[in-house]
Amino acid sequence: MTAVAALELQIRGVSKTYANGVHALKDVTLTIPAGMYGLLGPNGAGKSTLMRMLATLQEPDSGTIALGGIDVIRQKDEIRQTLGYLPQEFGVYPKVSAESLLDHFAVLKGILDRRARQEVVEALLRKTNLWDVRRQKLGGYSGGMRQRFGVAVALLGDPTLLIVDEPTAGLDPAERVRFLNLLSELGQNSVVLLSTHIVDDVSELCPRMAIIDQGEILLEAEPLRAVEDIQGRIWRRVISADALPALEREHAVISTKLHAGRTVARVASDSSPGPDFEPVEADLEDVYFCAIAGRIGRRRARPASEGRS
Amino acid sequence: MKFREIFRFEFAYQARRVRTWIYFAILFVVANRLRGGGVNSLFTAAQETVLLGLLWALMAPAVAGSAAARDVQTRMHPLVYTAPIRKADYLGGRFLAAFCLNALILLAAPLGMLVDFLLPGGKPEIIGPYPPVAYFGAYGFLALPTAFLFTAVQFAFAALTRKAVFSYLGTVLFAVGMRITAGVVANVFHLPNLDALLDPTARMILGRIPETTLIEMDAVLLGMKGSMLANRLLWVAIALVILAFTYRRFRFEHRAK
Repeated sequence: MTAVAALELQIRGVSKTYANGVHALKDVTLTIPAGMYGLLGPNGAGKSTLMRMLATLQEPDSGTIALGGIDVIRQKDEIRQTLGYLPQEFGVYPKVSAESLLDHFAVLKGILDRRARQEVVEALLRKTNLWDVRRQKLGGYSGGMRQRFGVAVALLGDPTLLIVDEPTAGLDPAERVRFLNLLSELGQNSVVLLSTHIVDDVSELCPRMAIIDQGEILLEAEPLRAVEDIQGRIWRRVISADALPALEREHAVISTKLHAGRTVARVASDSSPGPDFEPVEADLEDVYFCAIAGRIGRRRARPASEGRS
Repeated sequence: MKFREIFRFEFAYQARRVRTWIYFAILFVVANRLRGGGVNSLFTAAQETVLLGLLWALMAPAVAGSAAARDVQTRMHPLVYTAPIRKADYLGGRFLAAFCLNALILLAAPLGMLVDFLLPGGKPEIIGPYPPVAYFGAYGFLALPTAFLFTAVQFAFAALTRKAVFSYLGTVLFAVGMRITAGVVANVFHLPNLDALLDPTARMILGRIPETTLIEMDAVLLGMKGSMLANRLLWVAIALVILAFTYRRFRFEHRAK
């Protein structure tokens, strides 16, 4: 398949219920264009289930998934030719070096020519900053190094569909920045889907995003525009912790933070909720909490003003 | 090419492990000590090979178990299962590597028996009238088919349960299950020869070779005909059925806990 401008991942009406009754995904519909796309949601929202489906490891009970002309559910072999997957949780063989395991994966991904493979393996080991430790056994790698090794495996063979599930969860701040830089270098010809519960991952990288909670897509948006949409509607008030229940009864509190022993509550309101509140600059975190709290997006009780159905 | 790479990588991974060579060393020493370093007929060599095969089957299921289940147990399987590889290449390469490793380990049996002869100053009488190479016949006809069968059983249990430890359990369940089945079948149908046929190690067939002198028994063994040949072919065929079943049931997929 040639990478054309119209490359697009289409998820239509995907639902999944586990044997234990957990309704992991409810009628999920998303259209994901080429470029970085953020899937933001709390732990247990169904992100990993969706990511595994896109990575051909799980099938939905109903719904369809297609990349370009390929049916992801039925044409697993075709998708795997062009797939890169970094799972949320994975291990590696402990008693083998990064270089030889990456070389092995390169063959599995179809890079059969020895010289081409050597070049690809070296380039990826350098890119992921593992070149100096390439001869070390993977059993001795730290979590961050193993994560970067996973990135190298995922990037083998220039995938047109890259699925990256909670990649920054176990990384320290420096590793996280390096990892995000690595992702942002990827070409615009690929669909790169990044799932995370960290709002900053999305605001720093993704021109498009969706918010998911309890198996439902609450909002599909462009982060910059979504922040603009709620600008002027977010207010802040500093209170003591025991005053919070009363505040929550009277106002739409979307998030609270402890700061120097005081509680900072953020409230969504179209007009000033009172003299004790001060207006604040909205950010993507406010968008996220507004969506979760049902102030915007599909969870809103009134007919959605977003105009989507 | 991918098949070859999967085979090569697995074989090299386990050939570098100490465990593999500990199995080899144990078999070698036991083979050597079993008769004080001497074998005086093909028949005794065959009997010992069967015993050593049983020892191997109980000692080394981890070879097949780890070839089949290491990806899941190290949690590397999401990376492997999403690679563009065919199930036949993956399972075939892993199984063949496990079988070759086991064949290598079992080579300790004839080597252990013959080492005292092969070393400088070895006495010719300890191996009887046949050339040393004849003793590898027991390895080829008895050890290898048994290894093929048990590797298949161990591999199947580990691949389908996704846990290497089930290769041990599989060995025991299979051996005990087949003993009971053979006994029941032979009694119900009044066919005493059937239970020897249904003995995967061929131990009972050896026990029933009617000739009285070791030389005559050796002649029967060298012929490799009749019920012995039938037994070996039967179990290789059963091993192939087990592998086919494993291939059908195995899936590159996530399994919810």
